[in-house]
Amino acid sequence: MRGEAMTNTTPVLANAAMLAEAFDRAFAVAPAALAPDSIDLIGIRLGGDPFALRLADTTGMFSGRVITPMPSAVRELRGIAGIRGALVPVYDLAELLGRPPARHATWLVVARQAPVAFVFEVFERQIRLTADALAARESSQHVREVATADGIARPIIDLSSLVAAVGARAKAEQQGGAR
Amino acid sequence: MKREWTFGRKIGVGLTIKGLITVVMAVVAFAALQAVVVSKDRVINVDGPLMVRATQLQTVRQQLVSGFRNYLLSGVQDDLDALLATRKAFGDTLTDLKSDATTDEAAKLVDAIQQQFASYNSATDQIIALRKSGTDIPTALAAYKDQVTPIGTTLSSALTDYVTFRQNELTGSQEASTRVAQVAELVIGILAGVAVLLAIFIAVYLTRTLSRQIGAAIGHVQSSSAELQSAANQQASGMKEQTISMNEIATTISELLATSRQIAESSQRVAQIAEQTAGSARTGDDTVDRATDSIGSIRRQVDQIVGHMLDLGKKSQQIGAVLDIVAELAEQTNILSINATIEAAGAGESGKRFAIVADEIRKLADRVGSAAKEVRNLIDDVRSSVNTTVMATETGSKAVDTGSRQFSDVAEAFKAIASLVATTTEAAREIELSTKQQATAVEQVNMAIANVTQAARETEASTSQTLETASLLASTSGELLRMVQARVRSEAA
Repeated sequence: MRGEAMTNTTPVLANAAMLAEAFDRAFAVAPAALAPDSIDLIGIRLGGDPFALRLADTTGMFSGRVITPMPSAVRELRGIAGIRGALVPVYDLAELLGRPPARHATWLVVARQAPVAFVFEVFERQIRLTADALAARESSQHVREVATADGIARPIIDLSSLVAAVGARAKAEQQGGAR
Repeated sequence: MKREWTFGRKIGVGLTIKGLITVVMAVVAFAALQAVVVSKDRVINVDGPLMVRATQLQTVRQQLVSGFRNYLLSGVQDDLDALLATRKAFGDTLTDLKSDATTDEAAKLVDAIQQQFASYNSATDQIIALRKSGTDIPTALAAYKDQVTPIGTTLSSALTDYVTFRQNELTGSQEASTRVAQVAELVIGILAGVAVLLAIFIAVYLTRTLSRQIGAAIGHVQSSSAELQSAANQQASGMKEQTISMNEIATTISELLATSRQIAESSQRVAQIAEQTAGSARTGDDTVDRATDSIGSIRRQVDQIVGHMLDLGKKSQQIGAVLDIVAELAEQTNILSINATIEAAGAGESGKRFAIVADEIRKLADRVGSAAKEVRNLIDDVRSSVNTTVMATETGSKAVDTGSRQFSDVAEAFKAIASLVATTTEAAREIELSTKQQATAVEQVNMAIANVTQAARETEASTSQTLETASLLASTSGELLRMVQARVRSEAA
């Protein structure tokens, strides 16, 4: 027990030492320039499956925001949330992709194309890749690329396509309601 | 005779009847003999002497005749005196006969003789006077012939009548006596015949009755002998089996004796061990007391450990809370860095440096988050370990409580064991003593069994003798039964 505690404690101390060293080095070394073809992605999981979002397609990522439900003919609409002083509609990302709806989704990303937020369950980490790590593969209407990082293939969800689809459906619903 | 009479009574009654018949026969014989004696006495004492006297009277008559003639011839006084003496004797005899005459006829005949004798005397007196006077003999003889001879003839005739009468009387008495004797003989003969017949009847009756009863009794004796023989056989067989069983019992008793001795030795060893155990129990009692104190100390230390562990759990919880804040801060930092990166991307070329810094911050936040997760895991492990330790310690505390109570029970049990060991020691001593007494008793039983075995052998021997006796009795009773049955059959035939 005691030995096991020692073995568990040693990597933590090493990590702590490494963190301290990295923190100190960050102030010591010159700032590294970003690679010209680097692509930033947000690694998430939907229903346990790995996916990725382009960081450039978003204007911000939030967590723990209150989502107020709203009656809507759009099934995937979870409600509205206040982000940076504006009310944005929040849609279930998994359900928009045709997957089972998320039950405990708390993470929000706001699309750059339009003030629309998408909610999902698990945020893993930010992923920075080069362009050669991307591969074109159109598996559905909103997924056209796949990024491979650390041996894990992550389909990249096209938020612009999703925003367009949601906008089209909302428009169709509004027109249907007007008629 | 009644059937329930005894043999002696039956025989006694039979002999009594026979004796009574003998007495009656003797009385009758005595009476008959008396009658014969009386009749014979009459013949001998009365008729015989009278007959003799009558005959003597005839002789005296002849003497008178011859004496008278002698006197006539001699004329001597002596002859005359002899004649007169003879005449006196004749007269006395007649007087006696007269007095002895029992019948009128006899008296008459004697009277006739006396009359003739008187006449004869007077006639002879005349002749005597003639002779004395000197008359010659022939004259005297002639006178005698003329005067005396007729009277003498008459006197002789009277005497002859009397003698004949006496002869007849004697003959009649003899015949009467003979008849009495014959009657007596007949009566005695009849009585003897009756007695003999009665004796035969009694003998036959007794023989048949006694033979039947004796035969039945012998049959019973024979049956009883057979049963006795069978019983003796069974008894002999039983005695043999009893002897065998007694031998087996004796062997078993010997084994039991050996076992009892072994038990006594074992009990002695048990007593010694029990004494040692009692000593160990007393030592163990002290040890238990010390262990009880130690358990109390352990209990207090465990309580302290529980308190420390609960304190450690609280501290860990506080560390976890702080760590949650750190993790939250790291996450928020990460989000901020991501959003900063997004904003930097929108800031054009000048935002690139900011993007690099944001990336550094994001990486640092990632690492802090990872480290916080690791620390969180460690804290969780610590809290889990603390909880487990607290639970284990509480369980241990409860176990200590239980152990303490159980140890108290153990201590009590140990004391009870010590007491029981003392009791066991005492019981083992009593068992040892009892087993020794049992061994002694078993030895006595063994001796008794030996005596019983000897008695059984003697009984077997006596049973054999009884068997022989029963066999002999059976054969004897069979022989008796054959004899009695043969007699009964012969009598029946």
